[in-house]
Amino acid sequence: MKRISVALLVVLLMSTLLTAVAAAEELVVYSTIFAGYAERMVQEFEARNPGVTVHVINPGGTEAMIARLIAERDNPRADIMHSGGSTEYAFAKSQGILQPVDLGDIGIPAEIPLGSGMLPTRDPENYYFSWAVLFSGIMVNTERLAELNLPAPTSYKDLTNPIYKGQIVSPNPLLSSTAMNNVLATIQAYGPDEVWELWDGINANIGLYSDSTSNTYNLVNRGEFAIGIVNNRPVFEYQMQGWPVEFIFPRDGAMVQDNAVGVVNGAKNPELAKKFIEFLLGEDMQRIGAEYPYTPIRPGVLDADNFVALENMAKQIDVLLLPDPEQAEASRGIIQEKFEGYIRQR
Amino acid sequence: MALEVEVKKQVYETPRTGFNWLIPIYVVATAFVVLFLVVPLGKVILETLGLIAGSESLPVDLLQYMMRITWNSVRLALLTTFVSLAVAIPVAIAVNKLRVPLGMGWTVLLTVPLITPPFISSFATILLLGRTGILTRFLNMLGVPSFSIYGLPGLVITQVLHLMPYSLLVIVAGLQSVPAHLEEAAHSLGESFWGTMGKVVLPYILPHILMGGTLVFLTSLGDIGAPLLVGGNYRVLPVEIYSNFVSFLGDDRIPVVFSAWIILMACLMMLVVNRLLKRTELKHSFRTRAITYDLPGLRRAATVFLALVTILFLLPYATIVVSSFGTVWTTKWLPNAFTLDNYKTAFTDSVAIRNSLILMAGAMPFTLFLSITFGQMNRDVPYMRWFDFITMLPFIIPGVVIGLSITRAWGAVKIGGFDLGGTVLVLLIAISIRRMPHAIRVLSAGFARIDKSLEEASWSLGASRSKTFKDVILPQLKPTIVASGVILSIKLITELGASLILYPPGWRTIPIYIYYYVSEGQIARGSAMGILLIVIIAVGNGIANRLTKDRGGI
Repeated sequence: MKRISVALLVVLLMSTLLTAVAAAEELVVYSTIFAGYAERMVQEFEARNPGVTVHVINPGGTEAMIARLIAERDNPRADIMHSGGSTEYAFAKSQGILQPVDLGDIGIPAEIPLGSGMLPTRDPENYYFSWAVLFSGIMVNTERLAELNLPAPTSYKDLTNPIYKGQIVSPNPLLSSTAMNNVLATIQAYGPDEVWELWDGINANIGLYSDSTSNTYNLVNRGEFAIGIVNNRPVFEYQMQGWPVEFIFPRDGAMVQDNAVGVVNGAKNPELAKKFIEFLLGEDMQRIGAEYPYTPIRPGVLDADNFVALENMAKQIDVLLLPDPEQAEASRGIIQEKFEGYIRQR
Repeated sequence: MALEVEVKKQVYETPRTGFNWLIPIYVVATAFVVLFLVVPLGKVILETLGLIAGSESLPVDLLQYMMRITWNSVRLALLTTFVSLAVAIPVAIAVNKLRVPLGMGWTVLLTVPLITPPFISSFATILLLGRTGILTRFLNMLGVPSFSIYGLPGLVITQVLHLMPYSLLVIVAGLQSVPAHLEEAAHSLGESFWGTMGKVVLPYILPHILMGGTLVFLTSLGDIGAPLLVGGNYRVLPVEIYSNFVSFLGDDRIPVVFSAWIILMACLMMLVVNRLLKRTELKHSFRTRAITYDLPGLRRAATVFLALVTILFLLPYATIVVSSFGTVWTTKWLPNAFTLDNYKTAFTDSVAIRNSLILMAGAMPFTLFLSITFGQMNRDVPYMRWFDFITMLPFIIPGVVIGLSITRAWGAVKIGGFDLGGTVLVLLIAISIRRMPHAIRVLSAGFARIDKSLEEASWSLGASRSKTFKDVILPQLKPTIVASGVILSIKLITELGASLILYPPGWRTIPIYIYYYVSEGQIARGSAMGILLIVIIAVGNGIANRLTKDRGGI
């Protein structure tokens, strides 16, 4: 028995050694993107680049992905960091885990007009690039709301209404960028002082601060909580899967977010990595992404009245907020303090 | 008289033959743990301490907060342990002693919760007992008012449903080792069944009960899955460590300060447990054969009891089964529609199944070897006893932290051109380190019951330490090795935290697969894979049981 297991171990070690050696042209993509899109992305890229194998690795959330990239900094395993927003990529850049890549002119302007301002589509130093646009806001389970006989909220302000007591779930803003961005949206909409009156009210209604962003969506899908404070894209995905959920662009302000991509510093395969980013931002993949439904960053890929199109989203939004990195940085301390108070006092 | 005793001691307490050939093995095992656990964790702690020292002093409110969530953690672990033992002991007695129909079949059924990845079992509790859960709806219909599972009660329920089988397995193993003559003696002296159990059997298996309890306690203390999903606002230490470690928005001080604190607590707890174990040392050198009782009335009651417990514990898995055949399942009694697609996709992704099996088979012999080595070292080398605490660390340090620290320490090291971090070897090492404490804890109950006098007899007959270990200790340990092997294989195949952080391209395992889909809301797809995992382990255990059946039946 023992001999067999020892033999097994030896065989196993040999086989792992072999798999380590037998690497053909491979591209390793760290991504926390939804599986359906990830599979399609791999399929499309491999079809366009015969002989290339793409591995998508999901370390369990954008935060964990960054932690893994930092841990591997001295000997990077990944070529591409994919998914997560510019806030996270700015942090990744500051940690030295990204490298700049010169794409030249790929037909996406550095800034696109949105609402009353301009939305940057890439890092000025080319460390990362947006490939999809999303918005922060409110998610509701319509079946559960009907069952509880509650009207759907239309703004962050509505969430302070005591009728929603215990029915709201939010990711933990101390840990989740999804929640953090929602808080930043309210700071921009209400001003850095008045906003805490708003959050005192919302906090009183929040039944649960979830440490897991993805679980927040699950809980609303199931109807465990009628309302969630989230981003729009996953809600559209769940709608397509058949869950009775809807996304509401808050009337008092919906902040635009993005999904970004960058080349990992010290990537084993930088040329292929560059090709991959060009492919992601190219017209074909932008259009395919819209099926999943990622709002393309590239202008003109979809008709303006397409459900997923940026123009169509912008039309539904009363107050469209653009990220303000300076204010975000300035608010970090107070957000930390306030939410530590809200969450730890529970 | 006194002199004679002195002489005896000198002769018998140590073996006569020279070099202890076990020592090189101890050195290798210890070096392994130092390299892949102590060094990486030490590195992370030192790095962060440097960061903290550079900024500001520790605020008092953080320490106060730490005390509060420590109490949360300990209270949860204690409640879970007591409830688990209160269920496991009667179940074990009923199964082992009362000749109930199905016999050990009940134990097999009740180990199902062990097999499931913690992530999916927590989700099953939500499906069942959440605000829109089916059981909640049913209870509401009966007029029972709603209660929230998002908090302490929900956590205790989820953890007991998941962890009770640990203590059950250990206690059943203990009951099988109770010498028949002890019970027969008690019985013939007129003790009733309950008297025999209370005065003879339970005291005899106290080490096992303590070990089962410790296992549940520590697992509960280190559990992340349940607190993350149903913990709600009831915050516990491992979740704080995990969340703040992983998220760059988090508080950098928390993982280090809280980890240091947890290590300290773990040491204290181990001291207490070892003390207790010492006090309960009961050694008998007789060949054991469990006896059973023919008490029809009690047997019927026991059967009903077992049936109820089993239904209760399997209900969450029934929900997973239903979910795995369904499409979207929201506020209704059943999923919107039924389908086989989830299983079809699970089978097309069979590479995850292959990976999990390879990793388990690869890590298992080595981990078992490490665990037995440390168990023996703990008896053999008194001045290395403190190392026991070190080997227990992975119990309560989140897997993600272990995985990341190993990458940080060893990810860039190349040995003779061999890039360790790029292969699945590093994943094997990490899951072995992470799951080793489970095997060590179970084994320690077996070690505690080994008869020292047999060992001394062997020594006095001139056998070396290594020969004594091989021919005297190992045979006595065999049932416990089997039990710990079962638990270990399950813990290995359900490992998630370290795997997520370390898996190289192409090595997605079943738990990663499940985590991936459940967290994306594709609960049905995750459930189908969960059910497949349960079936695989059940079949595997069935085969293992066949192979080890010669150990005397019930």
